[in-house]
Amino acid sequence: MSDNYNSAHTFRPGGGMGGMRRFGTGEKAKPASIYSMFVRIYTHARLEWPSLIAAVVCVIAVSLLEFVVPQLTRFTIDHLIPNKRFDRLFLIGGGVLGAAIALGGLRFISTSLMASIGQKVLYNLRNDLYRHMQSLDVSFFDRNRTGDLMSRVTNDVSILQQMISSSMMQLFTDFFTFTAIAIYMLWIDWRLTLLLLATFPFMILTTRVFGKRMRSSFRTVQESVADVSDHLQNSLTGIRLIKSFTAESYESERFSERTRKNMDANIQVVRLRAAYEPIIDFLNYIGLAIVLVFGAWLAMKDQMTVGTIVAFIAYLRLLQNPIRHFSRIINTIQQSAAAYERIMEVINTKAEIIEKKGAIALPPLRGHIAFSSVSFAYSNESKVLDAFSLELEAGKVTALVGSSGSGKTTIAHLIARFYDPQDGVITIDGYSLKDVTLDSLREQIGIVSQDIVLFNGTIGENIKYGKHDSTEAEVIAAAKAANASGFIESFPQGYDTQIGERGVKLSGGQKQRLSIARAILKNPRVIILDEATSSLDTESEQYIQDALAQLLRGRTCLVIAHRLSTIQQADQIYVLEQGCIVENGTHDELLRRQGRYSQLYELQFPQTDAAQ
Amino acid sequence: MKPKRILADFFRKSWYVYLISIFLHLISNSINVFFPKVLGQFTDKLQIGGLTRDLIVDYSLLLLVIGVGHVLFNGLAMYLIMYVGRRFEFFVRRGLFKHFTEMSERFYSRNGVGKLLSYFMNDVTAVRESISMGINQAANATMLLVAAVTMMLLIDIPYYLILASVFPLLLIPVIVVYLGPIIRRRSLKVQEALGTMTETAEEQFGGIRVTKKFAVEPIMNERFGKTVEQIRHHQLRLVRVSSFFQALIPFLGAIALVVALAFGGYLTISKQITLGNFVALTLYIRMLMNPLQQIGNVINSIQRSRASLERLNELLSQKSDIMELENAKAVDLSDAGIRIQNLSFSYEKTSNKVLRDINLNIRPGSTLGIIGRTGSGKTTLMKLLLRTYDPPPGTVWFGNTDVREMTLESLRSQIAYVPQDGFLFSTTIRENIAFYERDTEMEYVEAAARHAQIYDNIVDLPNQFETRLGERGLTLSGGQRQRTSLARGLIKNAPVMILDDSVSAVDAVTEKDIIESIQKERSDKTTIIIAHRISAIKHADEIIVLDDGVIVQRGTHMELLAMQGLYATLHAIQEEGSQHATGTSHS
Repeated sequence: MSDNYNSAHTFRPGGGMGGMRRFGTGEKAKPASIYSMFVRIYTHARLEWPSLIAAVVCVIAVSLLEFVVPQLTRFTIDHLIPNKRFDRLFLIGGGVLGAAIALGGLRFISTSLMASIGQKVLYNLRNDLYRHMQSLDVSFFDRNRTGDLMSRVTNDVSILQQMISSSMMQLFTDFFTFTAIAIYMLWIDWRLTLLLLATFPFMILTTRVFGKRMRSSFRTVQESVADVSDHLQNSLTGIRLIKSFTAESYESERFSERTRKNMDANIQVVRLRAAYEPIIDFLNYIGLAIVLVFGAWLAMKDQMTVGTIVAFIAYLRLLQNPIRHFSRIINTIQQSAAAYERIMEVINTKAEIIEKKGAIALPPLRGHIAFSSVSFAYSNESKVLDAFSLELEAGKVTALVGSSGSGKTTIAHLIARFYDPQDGVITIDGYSLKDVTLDSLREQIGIVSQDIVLFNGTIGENIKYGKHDSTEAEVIAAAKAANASGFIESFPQGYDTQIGERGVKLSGGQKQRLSIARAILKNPRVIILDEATSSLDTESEQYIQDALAQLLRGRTCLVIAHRLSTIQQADQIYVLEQGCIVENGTHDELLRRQGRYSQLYELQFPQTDAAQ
Repeated sequence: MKPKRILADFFRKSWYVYLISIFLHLISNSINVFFPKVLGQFTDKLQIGGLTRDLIVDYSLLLLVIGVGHVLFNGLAMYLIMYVGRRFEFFVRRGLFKHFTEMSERFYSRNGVGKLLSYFMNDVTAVRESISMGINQAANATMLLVAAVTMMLLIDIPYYLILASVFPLLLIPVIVVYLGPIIRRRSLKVQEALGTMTETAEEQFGGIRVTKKFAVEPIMNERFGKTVEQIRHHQLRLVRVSSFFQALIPFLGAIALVVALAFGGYLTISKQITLGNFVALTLYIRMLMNPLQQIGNVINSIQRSRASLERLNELLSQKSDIMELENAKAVDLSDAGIRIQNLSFSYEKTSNKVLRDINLNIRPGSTLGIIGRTGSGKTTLMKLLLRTYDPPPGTVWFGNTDVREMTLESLRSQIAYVPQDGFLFSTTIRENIAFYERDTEMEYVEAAARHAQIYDNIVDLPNQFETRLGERGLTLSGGQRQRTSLARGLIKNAPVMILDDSVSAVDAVTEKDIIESIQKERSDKTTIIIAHRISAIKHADEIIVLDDGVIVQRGTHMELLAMQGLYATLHAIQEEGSQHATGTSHS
């Protein structure tokens, strides 16, 4: 049943042609088949082959032992009791006891082994998935909702876990039981068996029809889980806002809408299951009826003994057990297949920004950066930059000013190669950004931006983020330079103070200073300050400006600011409007020119102007 | 609160569904009992050669009817039980969400979003699974068990033999009592590990840009890998004990068989019971094995899910520390002044005071400017006004009502708070701006956007106001986000508006326009503006300068400039750049 599920996916929104390239862009994914899911699980599990073999041996031993116990009972009834062998009675008791101990032990070992293999597979899968996400571009995270990604890493992987840890073994044993009994039945009476097998095409057909629907329903379920998780993530992150707007009931309503959708989708699956399993059972009964009618007919024609029919029916019941089990498991398998598909969607998404083969590691930079006729737009929006050229001289401070939305931050993102421009080339020390390794590039660039993200952990850990092997003295020096040591040391635990999720317990300015310390510690050749000081009060800003002045000496620096006080010492100032440079020069030159810059300047410092 | 609340509540509401389902199960099973009987009659008839064509057809049809009946009732029972399980999931999730919205700031600074997400995703599911399939299986197994035991008692076996044989099975409750808590504990560890993993993942997806900037993906992978390793470790510990438990129950069954064989065999040989009864006894003991195994599984899964249930109940029993009084009043803020009297505040009892002896009187319709260093207590003061933290009694007054005696609804719906971070929801711009009144007419949305100076940027976007913002609105620049969030505050047109450093990422020209339009639009309403830049607050009727939690200066812009103090210093520093520049231009 490897690739019969294609049509199950046409319902997905925005299904187009082509393989799975850009997930989240609405392009259609090549469906990951159940077969490929098992192959992948097997490839991971194969590495654990000693455990795998041991587990299989245990399972076979368990089935053999289970066969032994009734034999012992039979032996007691047939031989011991008629022969009055009191002495042997205890021997038999001991035998059963031994068998029971062995059974328990083997069961324990096989479950533990399978669980450990399963956990290993999941561990690898989850890590692969996460690692892959980490390697994807920033634009991937622009396109996809955090909640959705979360649900893939947590929910979808957990669903696979259920299948691997509980259903795989069952599937394996059932398959063997089924084959063994089927062969035995063929040997007893091939006519009846073949007749019985006539119901199988119907079972397969039913399984296929329901399988398709189940998978597409599970797909809906898992998507609705992603929706729930996304809404939850979004509203919990914005909870302060929701509260200050008293929108709690509205959000609860919207949330319950989404969970209701999830419930409905789940109930749809339940319906399918509740219809499918009885149909398979029913087909089993039909098989039995066929055997009865045909067997009776043969018996009446004396072509078969009644004993054979009775035995045959007994075996038929045995044969149906694995089928019934399988019809239960198919549910789990289809659910896992849907989950697996969602996981593969991410894993098969290729980063658009990839190092080309043989990308060179950048040598220590001087820091000359040049944009030549670069055009860039975020996905399908209008162009942010159009045939844009800019040169940052090595070791100099260049400033970009302009109203918000004029493309300043985009320029910073392009230098760090978070995005590739659609047109034009960006070079650093003469190397095109596309020719160098991402690590060697980003290691030498430090960005302090307006979005401050601190991670759970201590203050020290957050500063060390830029350079993990730094010493305590270095951390403290960086904090001093960022004018952060004062407030850090005022905490009882100093650098070991824990900061909550996203550093809620620090004020905006304190967070910003930590993020500056982080960049200072990294000691990069190129520094980009993207509105790094906008949330600081004037005094701290002054301190930081001083610290930065120290730091910037001899490095290439790009300062993005709308507050002109922060950029007056820049060696070169560019004024950006709608993605175009309208003016450039030093502060004095620009003031003298009486253009856009001086207009901005006057607005910002009217008093001084009046005083002059 | 009692530990078993959510489940008990749910059962109280939907016990009849479970009852019906179990009843249907019973019917289905009783129908199934006829199956071997009919089959037996059929073979008997066949053996004596009494079968006719009609009889064959009759028997097959009868068997089919039994089959259909069994299957139908069984399917229905299963559907009901799973359906009700999903209802449970829905109710609990909705309840949790509602509970979350009621919790206070303090709760959120303790619990990360990822951790809370994990409750929804992992714990609710775990409980649901054990109550839906668990109940069915348990019901099924119990029926088989009861049937087997009844039959055992009905045939002519001495009770002491039965008791001796069944005795090992009576040890099951002992094992449950002993191993149950261990399973639960380890299961709790698994759930906690899952929570940590969710938290790490959530944080990482939010902070991916920083990770990329610092090129530390390997470190992040390692960090995440550790949490996954923890899950694996705890899962394996759990599997070990639970598979031990599951192996133990059939083992006890086997012991029962040993006793039956040895003791029963002895009695048979010494002719105290018949061979037939001995055979029947061993058969029935074997019949017990399967349901016992099933019950073992159910107990196992119940123990696991109890850990989750406890986590959920514990979460739900946490009370918000901001509670409305029972007789809380709604106050009309449009002509009520805001009065702060001798307010001192610290976040924790032991920690330093963040605010000290604040006295403030804001007349209705006036504008207050607040300036001060980072960490001087500005935002804390606003949090107390909005009562996201409780101020001490008698310190914050709206009109003549203490803020603690007001309804939260009337307080918060009349204050428009615009935070600094410009948080936007991942939905359309229009929905973000019209967050307060979702069905606000377009013209008002546009007007608010104009006042916040974001209108021109929005109409440049491909879908204008219907443009969907990406995750956390990242396709807008920092300044655009702030202005969108400002428009959201403006459209509320509330009697009181608080701008908490809400224009910091906006350039000087735009800031000036924004301040002007706020002055015009809100001329008769109370406005509080917090800023670092004097340019944003100098028009205020009163300006206070906060330093280290104390009001060090107050007055109008001109008055404060005339005083020697922090305000004048700040002003000088902000001007210094330009003076410095002027200086260099002359040199």
